[in-house]
Amino acid sequence: MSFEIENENGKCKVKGELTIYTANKFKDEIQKCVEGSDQIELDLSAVDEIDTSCFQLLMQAKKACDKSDKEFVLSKISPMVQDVMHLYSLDQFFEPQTRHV
Amino acid sequence: MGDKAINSFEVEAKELLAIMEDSLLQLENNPGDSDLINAIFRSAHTIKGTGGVFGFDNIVEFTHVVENVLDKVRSGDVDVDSELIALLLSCTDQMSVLVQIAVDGDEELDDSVRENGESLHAQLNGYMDGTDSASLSKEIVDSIATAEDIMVADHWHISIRYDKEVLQNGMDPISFLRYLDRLGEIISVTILHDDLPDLADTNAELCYLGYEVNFYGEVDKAQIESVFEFVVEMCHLHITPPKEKIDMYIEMLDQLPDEEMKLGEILVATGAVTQHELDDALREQSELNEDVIQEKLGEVLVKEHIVHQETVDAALEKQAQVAERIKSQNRVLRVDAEKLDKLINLVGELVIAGASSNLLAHHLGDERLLESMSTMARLVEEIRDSALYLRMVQIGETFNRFQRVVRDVSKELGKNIKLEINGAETELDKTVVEKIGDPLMHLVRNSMDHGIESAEERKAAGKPEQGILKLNAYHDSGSIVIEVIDDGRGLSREKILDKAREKGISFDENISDHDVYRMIFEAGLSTAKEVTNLSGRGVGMDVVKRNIEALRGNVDVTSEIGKGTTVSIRLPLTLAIIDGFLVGVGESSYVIPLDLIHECIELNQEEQKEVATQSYINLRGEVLPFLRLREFFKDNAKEKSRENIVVVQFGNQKAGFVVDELLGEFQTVIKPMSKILQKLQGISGATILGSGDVAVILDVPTLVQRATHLADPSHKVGKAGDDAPVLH
Repeated sequence: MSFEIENENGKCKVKGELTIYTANKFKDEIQKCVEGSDQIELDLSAVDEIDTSCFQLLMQAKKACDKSDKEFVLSKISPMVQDVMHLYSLDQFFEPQTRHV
Repeated sequence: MGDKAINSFEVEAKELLAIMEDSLLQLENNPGDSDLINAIFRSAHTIKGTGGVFGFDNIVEFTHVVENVLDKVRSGDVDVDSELIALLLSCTDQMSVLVQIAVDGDEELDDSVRENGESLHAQLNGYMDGTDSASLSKEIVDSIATAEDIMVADHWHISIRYDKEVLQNGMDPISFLRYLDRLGEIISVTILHDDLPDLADTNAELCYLGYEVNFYGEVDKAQIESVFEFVVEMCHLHITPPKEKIDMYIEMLDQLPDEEMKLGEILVATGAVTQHELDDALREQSELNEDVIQEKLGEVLVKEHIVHQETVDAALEKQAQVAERIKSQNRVLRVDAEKLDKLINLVGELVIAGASSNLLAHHLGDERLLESMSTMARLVEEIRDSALYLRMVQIGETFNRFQRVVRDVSKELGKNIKLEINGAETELDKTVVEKIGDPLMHLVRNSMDHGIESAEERKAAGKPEQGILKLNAYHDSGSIVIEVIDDGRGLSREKILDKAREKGISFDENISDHDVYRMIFEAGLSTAKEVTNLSGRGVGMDVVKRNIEALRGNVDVTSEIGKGTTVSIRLPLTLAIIDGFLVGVGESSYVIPLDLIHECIELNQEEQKEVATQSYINLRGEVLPFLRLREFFKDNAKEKSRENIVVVQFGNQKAGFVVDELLGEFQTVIKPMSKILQKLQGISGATILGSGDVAVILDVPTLVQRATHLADPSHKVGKAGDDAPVLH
């Protein structure tokens, strides 16, 4: 249960599992991401699994960016992520910046 | 209109007025209870309606105004307070008077009655002008958000609020939604994320989201609930059924059996509410604090969007319908008292005839016949018991009358006294119930007047200001025990002994406390400082004791100074058949009630001679007056060689009856005496023996007094108070 994250000036690529087991770590990483740049782009195409805890974090990251007028885009999302997004009807929430794989 | 119809009206009106009074008294302590308010309204409404049918205009006119005020109470425009209760109680009294007048056939009202009615009308009209502030119940009704705000017509609406720890416990909302989706189709999910903390402050392992789901599926509520089975402890779940389900639920309501069910049970039975939801709602209902009038279960369920208002209304209607139907199905029969007495008589005859057949069977000695007779005898005994139990009524009705009495008398005395009743469902013979009312009344008034102290006295003594008066009733080995218990000042040994000395009653200095307390039953022995119009003249307690003993019961008293007093009355369960003891005198047999017999002694030759010459004998150092029954009843049959004395005890008086033979215990079916014979002294009834002979039942109290008088003519028969009895 782990993930890797590459952060390049706000462009982050996440690989692996985003679940409650890695949620704390993901929180720190995503926080770094958000704080480190004004334009955040998340590539979630290599995320095999995601659960509510990490989805929450995504939402919280988006909110944090909205508050500080930063841009937050989910550039690519894997089918898994898309599934949950659809189940939670959160497409609108992350619009318009979501692009599907 | 025939007499029978008017009779029915009278009975029904009296019942309804009793319900009204009872409910009003209860309402005083539970002002918000709308069941009580409805019961009161319905009673008044029915009396008015039926009164109208009979053309009893006075009743209609008066009750109409009462009904108007009750309607306002029902709708919450008028608040319930002590003043209103007092007024309504006076109105029930007036209605009672009017009913009696109407039933007696009088058209004109007495001036006093009419004036009273007008005065009450004026007071009632005071409640009709202007509406008081809307009661809270109205607010609750208004504030119920209807499910329409949330609902889409054909879909289920499921609202889920998980506990924060749900993720840590290994559950994920995603899996439940997926599962739900398999049952049907999730139409939409709305995630509520207002509670999400900032990213910097958040705990990544906690769940802050709320879910509102619209779902379509051919399922019932229980199935949806089972989806969340594993997480039901960790979330708040509200499932609102689609509107179209309402018709289905209402249809199911019709199919429910005609049993009385509570609203919650009805809703669960139709599937409109799950057991889990019901339990949650009931728990919420009981957690409301005192200031808020308890929301009714239906309101709670609708407010939580668990059911629609229409479903609740339909369920309530069903409940009312069932109650109506059950009432009209006559689970309880009203039986004419005369018919019942006739039945008991016939049963008595059956017992006697059976005994006779039994005797003959014994004489014949035929085995098969004996066996058959034995079966018969057993069945007859069962019928006898069942028939006698038909005469049993609950003492609760008698006890309930005291609610009003305690209320009125405590106001009169300016004391704060509460009545607690236990064992109202205890049953006893109807004649006993009728006759126990007066003694009980006296005991209750005594307790209230002399037992329970005023509020100030109680406070000074460290007791709660409100005095408690308890009426208890319970069965105990073939008897019924009735207790009148107060937590007042208790009986004072010194005061009683002082009074006894005053009255010239002698007693042993080492007399036990218990015996001192029993002295309150002596005539003339009241230690009350003031003679109120309730009690204090000292004529009451001895009459109470005599009345109770006339019912073949006994009364006792225990007390603890400063703590309170308990008066216990013990009564036989039935008067129609007693345990008797058969004795032979000459050619005749006599029955003596077994529980009055102290002992039986055989007289030897010497003692027989003594008996022949004196009018008392020496019983182990005691002076025992006696009666020779042979002489008393002028039986001229040949004298037998053996004689026995049956020593009986009535109250604290003992006497002996000299008889020939002791014939043993005998189940005595009491046959009433005809009017001609009722005035006979010394006899309280008769019975028929198995042989067909008649045996007379001795009136022990009278005979004991007679014997005492014979032994010492200076005693005046009947005035127990003037005796100076030796108390042991």
